[in-house]
Amino acid sequence: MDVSQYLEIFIDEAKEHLENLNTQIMNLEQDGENMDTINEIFRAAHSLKGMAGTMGFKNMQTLTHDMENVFSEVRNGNVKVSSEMVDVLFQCLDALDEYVTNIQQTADEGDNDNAALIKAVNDFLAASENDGEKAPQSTASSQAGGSPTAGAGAEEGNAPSADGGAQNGNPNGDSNGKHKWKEIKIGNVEKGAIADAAKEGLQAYGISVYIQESCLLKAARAFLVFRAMEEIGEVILSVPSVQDIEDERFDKDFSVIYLTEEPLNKVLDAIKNVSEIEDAVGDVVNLSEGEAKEEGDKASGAGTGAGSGSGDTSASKEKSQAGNAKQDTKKVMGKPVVNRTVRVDIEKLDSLMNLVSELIISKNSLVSVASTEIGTSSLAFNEQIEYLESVTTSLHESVMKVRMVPIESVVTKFPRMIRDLSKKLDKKMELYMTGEDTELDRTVVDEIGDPLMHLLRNSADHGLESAEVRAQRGKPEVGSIFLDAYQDGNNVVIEVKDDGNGIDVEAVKAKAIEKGKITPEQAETMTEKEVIDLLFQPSFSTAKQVSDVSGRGVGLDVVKSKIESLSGEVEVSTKLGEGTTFTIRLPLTLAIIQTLMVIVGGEKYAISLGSIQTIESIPVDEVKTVQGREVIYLRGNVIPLVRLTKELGVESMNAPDADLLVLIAKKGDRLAGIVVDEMIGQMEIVIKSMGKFIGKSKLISGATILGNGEVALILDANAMI
Amino acid sequence: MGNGILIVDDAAFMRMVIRDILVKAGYEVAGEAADGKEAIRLYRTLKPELVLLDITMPEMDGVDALKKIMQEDRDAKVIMCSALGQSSMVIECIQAGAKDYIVKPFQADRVIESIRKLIG
Repeated sequence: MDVSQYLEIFIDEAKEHLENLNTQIMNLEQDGENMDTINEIFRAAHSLKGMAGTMGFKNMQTLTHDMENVFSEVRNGNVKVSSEMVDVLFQCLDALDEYVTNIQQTADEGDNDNAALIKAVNDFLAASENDGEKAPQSTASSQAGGSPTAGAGAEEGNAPSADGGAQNGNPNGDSNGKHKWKEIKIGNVEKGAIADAAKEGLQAYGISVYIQESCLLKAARAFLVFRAMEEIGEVILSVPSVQDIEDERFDKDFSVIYLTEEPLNKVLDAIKNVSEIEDAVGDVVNLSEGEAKEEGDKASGAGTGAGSGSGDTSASKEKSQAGNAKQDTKKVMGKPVVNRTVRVDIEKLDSLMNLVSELIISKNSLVSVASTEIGTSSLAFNEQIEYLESVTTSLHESVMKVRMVPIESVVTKFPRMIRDLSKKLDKKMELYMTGEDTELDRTVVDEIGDPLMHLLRNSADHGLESAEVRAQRGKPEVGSIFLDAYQDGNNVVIEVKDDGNGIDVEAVKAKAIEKGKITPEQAETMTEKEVIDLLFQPSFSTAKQVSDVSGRGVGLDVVKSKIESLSGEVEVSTKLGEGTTFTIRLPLTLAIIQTLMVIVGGEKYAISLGSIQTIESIPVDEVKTVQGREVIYLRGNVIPLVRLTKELGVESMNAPDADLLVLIAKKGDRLAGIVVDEMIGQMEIVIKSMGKFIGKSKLISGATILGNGEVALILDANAMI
Repeated sequence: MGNGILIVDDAAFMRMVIRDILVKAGYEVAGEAADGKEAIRLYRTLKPELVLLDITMPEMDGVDALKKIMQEDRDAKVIMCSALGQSSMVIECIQAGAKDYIVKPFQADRVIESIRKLIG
């Protein structure tokens, strides 16, 4: 089967299962006896196995198969979950993850068969079999009835001749050939039944059924045959016994003694109509022929007959009881609800988003037309434009929502990571997460994983103290790391917090001086915030030892630049001895924003409305100068002024003594007053990238196309503060 | 009759594989369900000619779904989709009225053979 077309969905779904497994195995470590968890793990491993098998990924199939086996035993209570088992299971997940990654990159799972891991998994099974093996066997033999030796004898007698018959390929050979049923020892009970049946006009047949070599789950196949036969007659004896067939203790054939009023052909046809049946042969049972044979081992024959006869009914009763019990437990355990979703390629969403963008631009141009010529004369036209505006706004919102995914997919792997780190660093720590359901644009979520992982590692490695130090400081032995996410207006805030040592400002200074980043004189005058900002400079690690956990050259600078490339920002607050909090603030969406349009030096600019607090008109004489900087005093705050004309290098169109138009912008807890010439109003704009040809300017974060086709630059208020 | 085949499997991937096998062989797919409860609901509304029913599923597994379907429609034609190692469950299903079973990983011709025998 050509499976390449399924690769994409295979990878997607496999990843989901792996994530799920990761979470569930974490849960398992907390509570090794939770049946919900165990069932869920079993189910996920099982699904993965089926999928891998279908795709022909043998290694992956083998590994998931063995995992499933272990969980099947756990489920049945034969194996207890141990912390070693959890370790091995996590290694299995890593191995599976590697397969999936390989598949994603090369469409092939790779050659690693993870033999050592598979052995480790099977060791758990072997350990359980030593305890568990005895039980099922003893029940099986007791079910076989009063004469276990006779039952065993019949089976042994069958096996060798089965091979002989198949090899000869001789259906009516000298001995019994394919008609193995002739070897069945018919007991007195059956004889009685056959005689009774004959009076009612029923004929007794001996039938041997051969199942195809390639058949999987032979037992189930045999049951289908039984059912086909029971529909038109009655099976009174079967070799091997029904119980043995059910347990798949037979080679590839079985024989029955069968009562029916139908002609033999019809019976054989019904049997052959079952799938995967190679052949079925039969003939009328001649009792007198069996007589002589049966005389010899009368006692044992009767034993087998009665044994398997009564065994059948009791076994099937037990079976259905077991089935009911299983059902009951299943009903008690609530299973997670599966979301009803449609998978959509992110590219399709991007193109939808582009179309929405275009629509907004063309709506903007209609607005600008309306404000000029025809529009003024037509009220209806204006109404239609307002309507169009509300439609485009809600369209934009819905498309945005479609693109939003919970950060869950990224953060679910963190508990596992912290667990591993805890072992590796030999520190006790616990990760507490909230707000996993907080949603962000898909593109942002895809990128946010690495920075968060780095911050968590940082907390685990540098932040949390060793157990001894924590004890001295009177802190609980187990360190806490918090990952909290929540939405705050048009932003999503993610905080990574620990109750560790906090940042040692003096140590950072010393390190910076040592590295030649600052002079000792500079260090004297630096504020704590400025010092901490040094941490975000390239290749700055204060760890005295470089461990392989963090401080591997990839520093906080990478975190910062990643977050900034997503139009977000990172802040740090810390208290020595008490802990550190990293706060990441990300915009909900990147493509379309609400802005304030302003004019500076005759040109139009857009400034994101999100960062603007208030708009003030300030008389020129209220501007004071502090330490050579212009400031204004507003409602108890001293706010530094930023004159855009100066920043952009253009001439103001306003008279020097005119009142200043000041936009008060806020970043974190800092304020700035941005002075502009004129204000146009609020506008929803589509951010267009400036392209790579224009060098990176801190002040300008992009451009947009206005309704009349003009291009306006987007100013980043954050960069001015 | 002739309402097509209902595919029930919790993995979208498997549903896609099965759907392609069926469509290639000229069968019509009546619908797809991702768990037992949905399977029962769709069985009632779509009245499919045949159901391909996975065993291991969330919400309600294939064994329970089969029993429910058989209870509502004694003539329902259900083929169980199982994996190796589920022998006892398959037997339980056959006793409960499943007409046949197929084993994952699916071989297209086995699937089709099994369907042909039931609905031609």
